This record gives sequence, C-alpha cells and structure tokens, in this order.
Amino acid sequence: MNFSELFKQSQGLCKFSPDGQYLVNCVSYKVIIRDVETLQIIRLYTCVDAIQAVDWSSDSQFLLCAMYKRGMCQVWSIDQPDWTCKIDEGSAGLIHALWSPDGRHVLTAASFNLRVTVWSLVNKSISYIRFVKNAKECLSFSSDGKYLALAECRKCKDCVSVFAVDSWQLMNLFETDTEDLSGLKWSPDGRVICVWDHCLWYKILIYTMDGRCLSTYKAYEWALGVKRAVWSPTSQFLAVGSYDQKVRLLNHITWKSISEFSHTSTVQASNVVVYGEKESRPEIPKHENTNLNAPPTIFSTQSKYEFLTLPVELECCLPDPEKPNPKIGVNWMEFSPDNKYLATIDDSMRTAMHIWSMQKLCLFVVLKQTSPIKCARWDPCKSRLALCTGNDKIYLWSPSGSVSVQVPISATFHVYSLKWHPNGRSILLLSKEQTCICYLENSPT
Amino acid sequence: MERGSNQQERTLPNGVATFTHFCNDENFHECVNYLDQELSIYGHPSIATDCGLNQVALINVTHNVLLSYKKSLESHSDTADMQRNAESEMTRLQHLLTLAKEDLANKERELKSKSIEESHLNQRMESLRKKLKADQEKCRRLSAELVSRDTQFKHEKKKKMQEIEKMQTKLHQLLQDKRQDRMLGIEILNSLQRADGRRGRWSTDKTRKNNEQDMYRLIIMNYEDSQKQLLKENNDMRQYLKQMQDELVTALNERINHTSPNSSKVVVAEENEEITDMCPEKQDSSDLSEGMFDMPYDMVKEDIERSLNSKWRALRKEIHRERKTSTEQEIQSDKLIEYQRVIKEQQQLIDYFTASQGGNKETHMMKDSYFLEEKADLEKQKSQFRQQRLAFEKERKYYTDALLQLGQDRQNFEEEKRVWLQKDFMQITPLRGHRQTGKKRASSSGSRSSMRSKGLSASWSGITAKDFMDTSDQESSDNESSSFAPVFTPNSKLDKIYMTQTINRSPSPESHPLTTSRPNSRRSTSPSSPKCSSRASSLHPPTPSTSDLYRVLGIRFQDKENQEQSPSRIQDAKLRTSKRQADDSVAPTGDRKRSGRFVKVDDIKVTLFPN
Repeated sequence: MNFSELFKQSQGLCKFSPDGQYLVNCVSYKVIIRDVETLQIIRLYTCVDAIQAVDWSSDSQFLLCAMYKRGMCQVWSIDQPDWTCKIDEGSAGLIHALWSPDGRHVLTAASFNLRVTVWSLVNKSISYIRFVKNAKECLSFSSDGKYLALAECRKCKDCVSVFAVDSWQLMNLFETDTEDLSGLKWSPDGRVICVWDHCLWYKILIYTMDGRCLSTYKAYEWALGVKRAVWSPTSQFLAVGSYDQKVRLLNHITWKSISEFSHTSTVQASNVVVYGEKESRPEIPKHENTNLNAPPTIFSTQSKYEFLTLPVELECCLPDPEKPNPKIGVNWMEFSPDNKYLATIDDSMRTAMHIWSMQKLCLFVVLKQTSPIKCARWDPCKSRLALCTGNDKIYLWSPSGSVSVQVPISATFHVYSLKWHPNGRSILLLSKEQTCICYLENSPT
Repeated sequence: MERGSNQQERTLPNGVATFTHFCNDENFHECVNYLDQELSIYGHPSIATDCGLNQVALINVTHNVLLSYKKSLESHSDTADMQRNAESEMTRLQHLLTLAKEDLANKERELKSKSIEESHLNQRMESLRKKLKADQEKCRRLSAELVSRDTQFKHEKKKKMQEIEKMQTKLHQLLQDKRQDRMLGIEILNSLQRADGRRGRWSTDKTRKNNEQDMYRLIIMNYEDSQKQLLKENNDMRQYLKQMQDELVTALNERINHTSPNSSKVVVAEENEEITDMCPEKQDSSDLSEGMFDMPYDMVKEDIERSLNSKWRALRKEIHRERKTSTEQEIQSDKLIEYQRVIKEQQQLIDYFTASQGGNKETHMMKDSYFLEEKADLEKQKSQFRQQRLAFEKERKYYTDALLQLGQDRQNFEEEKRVWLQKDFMQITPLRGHRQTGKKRASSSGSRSSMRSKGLSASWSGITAKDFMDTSDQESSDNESSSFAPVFTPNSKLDKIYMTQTINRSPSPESHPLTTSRPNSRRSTSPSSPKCSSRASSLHPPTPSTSDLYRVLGIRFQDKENQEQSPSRIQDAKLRTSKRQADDSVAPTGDRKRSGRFVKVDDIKVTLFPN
C-alpha cells in the first residue's frame, strides 16, 4: 500500500474523472486537473469565485464548477484549454448544478426550487422545467441516460414527469399516490421508478415509465417512515431504510418485503463476526530530545481489529424526541458491486457498520469503530469496503478479513472522506484541506 | 340447734323472750306441750303422754330431729357448694360475656372503619371512573381536534402552496422579462458538438412521435426482458420440480424393492399398507410424464400437488419408521458383531484342531465316535448319580425324623429322671406330706428353676409368670394339633418353654435371623454363627437332658463334619429342633418315623430346609 504526497484542496472538492484518467481538485477558486498516473498538473483554470461544487461530464471531457453564492456555473474543457463557458442563473439564484448524462447539457436548479433550467452547450438553448419538488432528491436519470424522471408538484398534487434527454421532450406525466413525495430513483436497469413519500407516511411506490403503479408498500403507519431507499446494482432488491432502525428488502418480482434487517444495540446472532477496533496509545518517551527526530506518526494512536465475543453491545445514543429530524434510523446503505453484501449505518449507532449477507439474508459482519464513521464506500469492482472515522486511519473490510491502515504521511492528516478510483486500485483520501491518493496495489512502475 | 332454739324462743306463744333457758321447772309442761305441738306439726310422734313426757318417744324424736338436722346441714352445704359453683360459673360467664362484648365492640369498630374505608375506596373509584371518563372524553375530543387540525393544516398548506406556486410563476415571469433585456444567461465561446457527433434536430411532431415510439419500444423491451427472465426462471423451476419428482419416485421405489424381500412377518401388514399407499404414486409417476411439467400450470397443478403430497407423506412415514427402527437396528448390529466374533473364534478353534490333527479325517472320525461314547457314559453316570442323590435325600429325611424322635425320647427320659429324683428328694425332706397334690406342678417347676438358677438366675428373673402362661398355652395348643402330642408329658412343656427361652436369650441382633425361617442363614456358616453359638453355650444352663443330647450330637457331628464348624452346627441343630417343633405344629407332615438311631446333623440341615 502506497500513498501519494499531499495536495491542497478546499471543501472536499476532489474527484476522479469517470474514465479514471484525471483527477480534479479545487483550491478556493482554482481548478487543478491532474493526470492520475503521474499526478502531474495537466490543466489549471481559475473561476470567478470560490468553487462550491465540481462535476465531471460523463465523457470526462468537461468539468462543471458551481459557485452557488454567485449563482453561476463555469464549464471547462480538458481538450480545449481556451474554451470557456459561463452560465449565470442571475437573480433566481443557484442551489444545484449537474450534468445531463449526455455531457452536453447542464441542469441548474434555482433557489426555492423555482425551476430547473436546462442549458444546452450544443445550441445555447435554454429550457425550463417548473414545479420541481426538490432538485436534489426528486431528479433522477435512467442509467442509460435516455430519460429523466422528475417529481413535480402541480396544483398541490404530486406527479412524476419523464423527459427524453436528447430532445428534453416531456414523454409522460403521471400523478402519484403520495401525500408529500420526497424522493424518487430510477432502477439501475431502467425499468421502474421507485418513489417514496415523506417520512411522516411510510410509503414506497413502484412505477413504470409509462405511469403504471406496480406496487405500493407500507411497512407501518403513523410512526416516522422512510429515510432512504437504495437499489441493488442488479435492480433485484430495493433496500428501504427507515426510522424504526430497520432495513426492509423488497424483491423485484412481487415487490414484497423478503427480509427485515433490524439494527439493535446488542449483537446476539450466533454466526455474526464482530470486529472491534482497539486503540492503543504508545507510551510517551521520557526525554524530549529524542522526540524531535522521530517521525510524527509514532505519537499517534495505534489501532487494530479484534474479534469480539458475542453478545456485543454497540454504542448507541438515542435522540431527543423533542427535536425534529431525530438522529435514528438507517440513513446510509450501499450494496456491494457484486450484489452480495449490503452495508448500512444507523444514525443512532454511528460507530457501527453493519454488513449483511444478501445470499443468506442475515447479518454477516459488524465493524465496531471507536469513533463515528464519517464516510464509507464500496470498491467499484470488488466486495471491499473502505471507511474512515475522521482520524489518521482508513479501514478496509473484505469477506476475508478486516484491517486498519494508518496514513503514514502526516499525523495531522485526518481522513474525513474517501473516493474510490473507478478501477478500484486506489482511493482518494480527503481531509478538511488536503488530499492524497492511497494505492492499494503496488504498481509495477 | 341453737339457732332453732332461738327461733323457738322468739316465737313463743306467750311472747316472752327468755334468752337463758327455754324450759324450767315452772313451764315444763307447757314446754312439753309446745314441743309436742310443734313436733306434731313437723310430723313427729307425740312425746307427751297424759302423765307427762314420754322419754323413749322423746329420745326417738330427738334422734329423728338430729338426723333430719344433719341431713339438712348436708343439703345446705351441698346447696352452698352448688351456689358457689354457680356463682363462680356466673362470674366466669359474666367475664366471658364482657369479653365477648368487648370483642363485639371491637368488631363493630372494625366494621365501621372498614365500611368507612370501603366508602372511601368507592369514592376514589368513582372519582377515578369519572377521571377515566373525562380522559376518554378528552382523548376523543383531542383526536377529533387532531383530525380537524390536520385537515385544517392540510388546507392551509395547500393554500400556501398555491400561493407559492403563484409567486413562483410571477417570479419566473419577472425573471424571464428581465432576461429578455439582458440577453441569455449563458456565455459560451463556441457551441459544442453532440457527444455522438450528430447534429441537433428540429423538434417536430415527427421527432416527438419518434421519441414516444422509442419510449414505448423501450418499455416493451423491458417487459420482454423481464418476461424472458421469468420464463427462464419458470423453466428452471419446472425442471427442478421434475427432477425432484423423479428422484422421489426412484427413492421410494428403491425402498419398496429393498424392504419387500427381507421384511419380516411382523412388519408385513404395515408394509402392505404402505405399498398400497404407494401404488397410486407409481401410477402417478407414470402419469406425470415429462410433458406434464411443461403443461400450463393451472391445468396440472392439482395432479402435481397431489402426487407430490402423497410422496412426501410416504417419505415422512418412512422416515418416522426408520427413526423408530433405528434403535432396534443398533441392537441387532451389536448382536451381529457379537455373533461374528463367536463365529470367528469357532473358526479359529476349528482351524487349530484341524491343524493339530494334521488334517487326518479318519482319526477325526474316530475321535468323534469316542466323544459320543464318552458322552453316553456320562449320561448314564449322571442318571445313576441322580438316583443316588434321591435315595440319599430320602434317607436324610428319615434320619432327621429319627433325630427329632431321639431328642424327644431323651427329653422324656430326663423328665422322668427328674421326677424320680424329685420324688426321691421329697422323701428325704422333712416337709414331706405337706405338699398337696394340686400344687405339685408349680412347686416342682419352682424347685427346678431354683436348681437351674445356679447359672442363670438373673436371666430367668426377667420372665414373668404371664410369659410362661402364654408360651405354655401356645405350646399346648400347638401340641394338640401336632402328631407328636401324645409323646409329651405335661412336664415336657416346661422344658420346651425353657428351650424357647434359650432361643430368645441368644444374642439378639446376630442370632435373630437364625430364628426366622431363612434357609440361607441357616445353611451358611456365617461368621456370626460361631460367636453366637459360644455365647449360647455359655448362657446355656447345665441341664443334663439337652446337654447330653448335644454332646451326643456333637460327637456325631465331629465324626461327620469339620471340627471348627461343629459348635455352630450344634447351635444350629438346637435351634432347629426347637424351631422344628413349632414348624411341625404349624404344618404337620404325616410321614414321621420314630427310630432309635442317631442322626447325622448335616442331614437335619437338608431335611429341615429343603430347597
């Protein structure tokens, strides 16, 4: 395992391009594009303001930089350094900007979800989509990039509109049976759209593109409901995390629940492996003179995983019922790329990572960390999970075992976020102001 | 009396109260008359005569009066006692009454407090009920309120959203108007080509239709894909079902083929039942041809379900049976191993013999014939031995009887001798002639006991006359039923009592089992038996009769038996003889023969306690 040197970045704006060739990192209003292999700077652009979001086009040829404060976007080309494009939302304001899947259109959402504007970079045309409910959650492209599903609220009624991306023509508009639609997501195979209601009403609806409702699923009533819904890569499962600390798995044929994964504070099931992170601090050396020469990593805490004997008590903090948006329930879920595992984090147990086996439909592994998990991502090619907890270590889990790795570069480099390279051979580690690449395999070069 | 006289004085007819004397010379006659009158009133004969006082009558009357006075005194004291008793009883009862009253008061108080408590509780319950009702009402009201508020909220929300919508539209229009002035919001150096290199098309109805067609094509494709997938899954399932069916059929058929030849008669009935159960399955399996599983499922659903169910049932039954017979099989397998081992050993032996004999068949045959001959001899000897044994046993019986007879004879003899000696002794004593014939027996026994008390006066003292009587009575009654009864003289009874006493006095814990009719303890030379015998012999009184007998027996004993066993045998024999007498009386056996011969003691043992 190798680590690159540190680069500066701001606001965690650092991304691999979809083809894996380039790496962009933004430092305030500068955009730095590097070659992933050599880490040499290829392009350097300067935006008009501090960049707040950055996005690669699907063909990795263009880069979209959003400056929400200023209500502007700038697009940069990798091949043509002289080419410029500036998109100004103007007085409407900007809250979200993203590429359309074809890489030739930019979608921007105005303040108060007033409208979604589609900017064409091909013919400078502008299209407006109005009555959008929520530009972040209620906007989903099909995986083949041909269609866009968008939740709207017209005359106080929720509905879903389907657009053909190449002409931005409205193909279909259908009402949904929801009280307050809060999100939708196209299935990875592009056959169905999953729609879920506001957390006050537990309701999951499955629609086809032409507006037929295939299924309605309600697990319970009255209590706070759906927190997040995630499709498996094969579209065979829909995992629904809710405020009752459970994940319900719906199957893709009958759309009924096939299993319930409940997150309890005590792990008792007999065949669960629980890895517990154990930290050990090295003793403080007696003479200060010797310290000065020693590398800084020596003084940081060491940690390793240990097998814990069941039952294991997980750290759990119950939320205050008086406050809104209680920090409980499953809010983060991700299927492994091979569809074999589902990793979940319950908001009341941020230190524990639950990994469920999809073949046996049971809890498989629990990773018990000493501090709350900040970010976790699956390797895009393998069943390998990387996670970080805001300290100087990254943690990797695979079915064969679990390991914690100290980032040896600097003791002050605390990993807050991580991103996998599309080929799964390296991870981009992000601290608050710096970044580095962790190469998992020793490359022949 | 005095009190009476005082009363008399007070009620004198003349009314003169003289405290000194009631009667004096002057009023003698008056007094007599008065007394006479008074006495006649009380029903006494007159004491006065014409001439004066009748003294005799007076005395009699006085006596009577005294008697009646005494009686009255007695009755007075009695009544006083009774009164006292009644008074005390009354006080007790009064006490009890007060107690009861107190108790009652307490109870009443308690009752009152309880009733107050109850009323309190009732009140509380009422209040709680009211509260509950109120709460329920409140709940209902609140829920209604909630619903109304919810609808109100929804309405408000809707209104607000409409307002927002309006505002958004307005804003949008305003923005758009503004933009008209300001040119477009996009500044681009030069337009890009499409990613696929195509040029943009005008949006016409045709393209719109094309797009729609594309969409529906995609939808249909998706459906087709999913149908294909389902079809494949369905096909796999059908295949699997068929495979399962085939496997089940083969498994069940195999089982039938397996079990039918070696099934024992016990399970035949069950088997038949099962086989008949399975017969339709066989047909079914033939019915359910390969095409069956590719037919539309709703048509063949019932058939498949039925056949599968029956198969599963058969299989379950089979498993159940297997489980039941598994233990049996285990036992049988154990047995089998054992048998195999035996067979192996036999084989080894055979091998060994054949090897040692060098494989000569003739000698082998000869050997066999020898064996046969030997065996016949052995059989003959065995039967002979058995006969002998029977004869011995018979003889032994005779000997035992004879021994018993001998003992009795000896006893009789001793008794006679004793009587003779006594008589002799009586003739010598000066008290001769004072003895009455009626008391002869008692005195003789007393003298005998005094004679014997040299050795065991202390132990004899423990036996009461009653004991004597009881045992003697029992013995006599026993003897009456016994065939031996005529042999005993009245005196022999005492001797027997004595014998029983010796038995009773022999050390209790060890010797007690000996007195019970347990063949083992009698036969065995237990370690305790020598000890008890020795103690018995030490306690044994030096009676000439029994000791002589024992001595004789002992001699015979020692002739016959081992020296060290003899004392115990003596004791045994002694006990047995006494016991035997009792046994005989209970279950008399007719074929007793008296004989003058001595008896072997070991014979006694066998005869008395036959197996």
